[in-house]
Amino acid sequence: MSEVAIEIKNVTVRRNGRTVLENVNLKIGRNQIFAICGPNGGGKTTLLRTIIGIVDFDGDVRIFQKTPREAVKQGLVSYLPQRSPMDYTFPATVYEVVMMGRLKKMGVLKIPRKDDRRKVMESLKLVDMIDFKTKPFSELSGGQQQRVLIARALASEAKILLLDEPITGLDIHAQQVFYRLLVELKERTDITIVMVTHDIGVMPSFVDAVACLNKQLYYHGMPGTELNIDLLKKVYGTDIGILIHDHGNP
Amino acid sequence: MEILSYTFFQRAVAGGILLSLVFSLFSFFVVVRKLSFAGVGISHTAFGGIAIGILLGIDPSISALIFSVLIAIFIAYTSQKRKLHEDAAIGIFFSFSMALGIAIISKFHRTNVDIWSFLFGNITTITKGDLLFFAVVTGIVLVYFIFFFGDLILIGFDPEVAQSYGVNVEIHNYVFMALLGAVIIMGIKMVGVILISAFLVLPSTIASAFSKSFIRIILLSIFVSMFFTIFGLFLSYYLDLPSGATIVMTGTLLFGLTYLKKS
Repeated sequence: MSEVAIEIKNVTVRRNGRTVLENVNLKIGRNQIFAICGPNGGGKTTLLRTIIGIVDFDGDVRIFQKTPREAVKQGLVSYLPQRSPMDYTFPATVYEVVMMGRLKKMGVLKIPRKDDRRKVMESLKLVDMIDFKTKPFSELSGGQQQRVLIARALASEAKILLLDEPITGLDIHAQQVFYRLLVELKERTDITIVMVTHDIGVMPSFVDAVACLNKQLYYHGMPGTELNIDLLKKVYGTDIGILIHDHGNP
Repeated sequence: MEILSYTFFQRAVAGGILLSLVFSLFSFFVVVRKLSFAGVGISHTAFGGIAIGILLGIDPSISALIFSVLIAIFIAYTSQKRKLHEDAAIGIFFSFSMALGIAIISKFHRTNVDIWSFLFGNITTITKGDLLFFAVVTGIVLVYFIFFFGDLILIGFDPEVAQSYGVNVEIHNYVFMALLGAVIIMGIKMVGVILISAFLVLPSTIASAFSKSFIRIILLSIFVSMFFTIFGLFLSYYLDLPSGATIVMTGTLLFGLTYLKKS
């Protein structure tokens, strides 16, 4: 593995007397696309929230050797939660949404400088949304909104992108376009992408490594051969059928 | 324009400008964060605070300020800790405070306190001291919004992402609600307990008909709010109508015209 971007050591999270994550150990390499799969309620979102330091935990989490709070303060991590908590009707143009990624870097009066404007335009170009910059964010399709949110993360100059169920609500075509964007970003930038999904059917071949999580970590390695039926039964706690297909490659 | 030579009207205009400025800033965040009911709740709880002031023989504005700010913080706490659904907490405090106010006033009402002006506002009651209070609250609100504008926008757009940017969402919720409580008391002097929530909803709602950009909506809200407040004040004088009711009706008419044109 190249340089380690995220290192999680013996992490346990308890909430309301219930163990949500138990003794999780994980290493995610720099500039990887890393997928975390597992059933709903298996602790995937909690793991992402642990990485950004908004969940109390036992153990140790390091992001480029820094604690989660330090990493967040330095803007190393950008987090895209599941679609539900976000207000998609918020009155903002695409440009303004991406500029939000620069807010923590601006001065007291939050007036964008030349550098902020340049970074926003660059990010919009990277996700191919430059033509939409004056459009209201609320009037975009789900896939376009996801691209804009990725642009916001890029504008913040984060080194790590955490995506929680990013393809929820997107149709097959939009999913493929979205995956292609992730691969392009990986190739054209130095970003590390961690993507959470409950659906093992979306474990495409472009993913560099995969972890299966259901409170504990059951598998951590390359996608493919070792991801067998017995393991999936353990993770998902039920009989599971796998349909082999070749649609993963964007 | 002889009206402008009257001291009470000059004070009303000055108060109206300050009020429009702070309420339009809050209006945007109240509307996008769907806190309109919290505004209604806090303004009505002020009635309980007014009654406590009457009971204790202190300035009802001071007791209402303390009571409203405490209730606003408590609403933020219940919502934050998910002890009780926010709507339920507001509903309970809203009716309790009104009930407390009615009980105290019916038992201990002193004739020198004009309850009607607290309920519906009265510009003639605005004193120099009130204007000073308005100016202090406006100053604090402006400092807060200027320094934490980015944080407030991020919270409004997505609280979870705001947290991931290192924004302390919990503290901001408390500060925002406490300031909202203080601002509402300021507005009660002008338009009263019953009508003040219109000031929280109308500016941003009208402005959002003209733009989908939050910066433009906020700037336009300030203009819209000042326009219907000052215009309403003049109308109330020339039509001999209560100022609070006239201002709110002017704002609502503007809202109606805006949406009529839009549709």
